[in-house]
Amino acid sequence: MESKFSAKWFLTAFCLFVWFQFVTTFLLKGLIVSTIPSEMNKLVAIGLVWLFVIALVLGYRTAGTVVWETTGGSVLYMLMMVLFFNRFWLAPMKNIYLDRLTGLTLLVGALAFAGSWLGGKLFQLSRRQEIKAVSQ
Amino acid sequence: MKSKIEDIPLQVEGTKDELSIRFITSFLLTTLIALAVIYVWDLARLDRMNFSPRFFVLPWVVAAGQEIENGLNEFSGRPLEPVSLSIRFSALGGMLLIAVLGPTLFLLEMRARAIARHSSLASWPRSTASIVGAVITIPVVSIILLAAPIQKVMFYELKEAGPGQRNTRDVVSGLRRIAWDVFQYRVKPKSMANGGGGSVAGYTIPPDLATTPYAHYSVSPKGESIEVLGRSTRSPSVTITISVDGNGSMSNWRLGGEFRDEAPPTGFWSSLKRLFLSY
Repeated sequence: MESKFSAKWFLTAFCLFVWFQFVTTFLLKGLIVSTIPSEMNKLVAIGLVWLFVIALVLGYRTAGTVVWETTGGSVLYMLMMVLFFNRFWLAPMKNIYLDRLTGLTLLVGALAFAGSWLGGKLFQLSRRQEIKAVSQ
Repeated sequence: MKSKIEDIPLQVEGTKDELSIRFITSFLLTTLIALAVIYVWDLARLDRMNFSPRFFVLPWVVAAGQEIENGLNEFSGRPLEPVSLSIRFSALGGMLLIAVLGPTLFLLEMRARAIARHSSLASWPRSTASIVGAVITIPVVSIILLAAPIQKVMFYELKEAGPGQRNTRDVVSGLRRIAWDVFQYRVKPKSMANGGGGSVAGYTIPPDLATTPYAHYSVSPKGESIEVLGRSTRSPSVTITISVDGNGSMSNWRLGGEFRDEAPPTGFWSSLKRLFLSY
């Protein structure tokens, strides 16, 4: 297992978050928020859960080898959102302050870390069960 | 010889190295292009730009919007103004994007693959361009394939709705004339021809009112009023039944059939059949 930070996986994680998190929530926003603006808070919550799920799948598929890369990719993704797409993602949080933005970025990073770490553990668990089944 | 347990490693070795640099470059470039498109789109949506590409990928929507605006202007008596430059660029840009650029990039890649019989990922700019072409072409073609039958069905629905409404008006017009005739019948003394002497009993429809080019009418007495049934000549299933009292007032309207020139078939297969027959 490599311990070195992989720039390739860092960029791939960022791209995966864009495609599977941002683009999907952007389409959902078009469907939901244009008709029900009050549902934007729920969309943000769903988006955070969805980000965790993406990280979980990524962690599982890579056998838990890219936990820090996924975390870094998610933080880069969040920074991009804050800098360029804040109107979209942070619409319900008007007059948002730096501490809240920092908190949100850390939350996203923590969710991605937890998701990919848990995905890796799940992979190991499934492997152990497979080994156990074969050995029996 | 390895045991079965050894065949299943706990960790996957080399997972981090399985991505090629070409793949990463193509993926990152495509992602950044998508983000740039969304960024510009979102800016335009908030009217921060004078030029709105809202319907950039659907030029016919731009044209339809202009057509509606022209119609409203004419209806309001306002003179038609020249089409603005932004709309022209929207339509032209949309046409170039979806009809020229997208299919060209996509089909060139398909052709290259067919000739070379290998993946084109050897050249990342070309593969990125083909992905962009596919992203432009596939959704638009899907929309066109879905929208074409819907448009055709809507066209015929609207085409039928106009004559149907006119037919309804013709039938109602005959009923009004009969109601007026019933009133005249009641107020005329019995000594006069076609006079009811204060009652509607014994009323019969005059032949010129019983049959018109649009409908056939029949009456049946019902107490102190008369029930009049109008049946469309064009569509015999279409009927309107009303009650007319001695004052010529019409009430208790009951509509039967569909108010169309021809009763349209209902159901999926019938609609599909009509659709293909209409081409």
